[in-house]
Amino acid sequence: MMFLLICYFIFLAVFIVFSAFGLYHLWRFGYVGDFTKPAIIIYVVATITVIVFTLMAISLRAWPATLT
Amino acid sequence: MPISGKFFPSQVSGERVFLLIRRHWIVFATIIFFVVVLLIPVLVLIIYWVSNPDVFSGPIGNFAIIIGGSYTLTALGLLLYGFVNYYLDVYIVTNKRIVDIKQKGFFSREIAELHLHQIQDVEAEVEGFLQTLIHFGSIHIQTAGERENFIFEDVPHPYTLAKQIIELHEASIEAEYEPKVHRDQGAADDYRPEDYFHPEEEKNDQQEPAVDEAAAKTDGSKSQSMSDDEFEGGIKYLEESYRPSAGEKITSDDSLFPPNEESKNQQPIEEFGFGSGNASNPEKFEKELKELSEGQEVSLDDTDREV
Repeated sequence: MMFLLICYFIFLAVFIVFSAFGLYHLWRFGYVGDFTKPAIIIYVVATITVIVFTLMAISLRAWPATLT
Repeated sequence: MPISGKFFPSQVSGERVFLLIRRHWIVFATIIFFVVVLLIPVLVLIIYWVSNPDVFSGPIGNFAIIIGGSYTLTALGLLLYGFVNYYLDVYIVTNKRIVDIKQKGFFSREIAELHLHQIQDVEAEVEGFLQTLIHFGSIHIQTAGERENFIFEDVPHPYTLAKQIIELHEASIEAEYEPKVHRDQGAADDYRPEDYFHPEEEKNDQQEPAVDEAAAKTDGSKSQSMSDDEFEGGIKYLEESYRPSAGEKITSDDSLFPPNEESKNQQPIEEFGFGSGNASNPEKFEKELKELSEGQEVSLDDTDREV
């Protein structure tokens, strides 16, 4: 089970880097008055919600140290 | 750094954005639909978990959390990728040129430009049932010379847009041949006599009447240059003929619109596509186009565009 958890945290790190690139593009090439800023806010709120929800669920459960 | 006060990086001072075109909203709706379909299994899993919590009490629950969380974040990441590709793909028509900005993923961005006077033909194409039903299609802009044609793909209202691009093209050509004078409000002090006198034209005029020159030489009393009184009189006459009524004043500039900071920070006249402001306002466009043809500065609402 711990193996799954490690994989999830590696995925999370990759996902955060990927999101940072995407959000940078929206911030860099958007202009005031368009939909890029609201999109950034919506995306950040949605992803943080999912991440917090999964981390809470992970912390509430037992994760045996075995790799199986 | 964000593009402060500009719509695209190479926007020059005084360049006014007339049309800001994105692909039709149906393109982004397709991406959203795909992501929603991807998220349906997660929704089913959550509902099943709530109704049968005992099933997920053991290792299966741990597995479901990890896979479900990763799957949801992947779907959100795909949505972001699709949005960046869709929303940053923009076609811009200014008073000088057409700019085609293509965003290809996160690491590729192409910007192509075409001056309005290089346009030879504009063709709108609506093909298919869905395109006909919700009014979107492609615009093909044929260019002069061996340049690659510009193609606006999946843009809304292609017939209207094609017509507006042709009108802007014609207006830009007309404006090139008009006198370099236009009226503006609140700048009478900017009046310059040289704007009303074109040395090149005067030079050409001087070359033609050879007989008059010869006559003037023999006469000896007439000078080739204008006297101060004649000059002042000419200026007064031109000033009165060009001065508009009711407080309107005269300015001049080499470009179609004066290169001031204010004009840089104004919103485009029309936006087409997802998140557009006033996409359907043909009367306003006609008014602005008329002003462009007459060489007047387009008046738009001042908008705080602080980034």
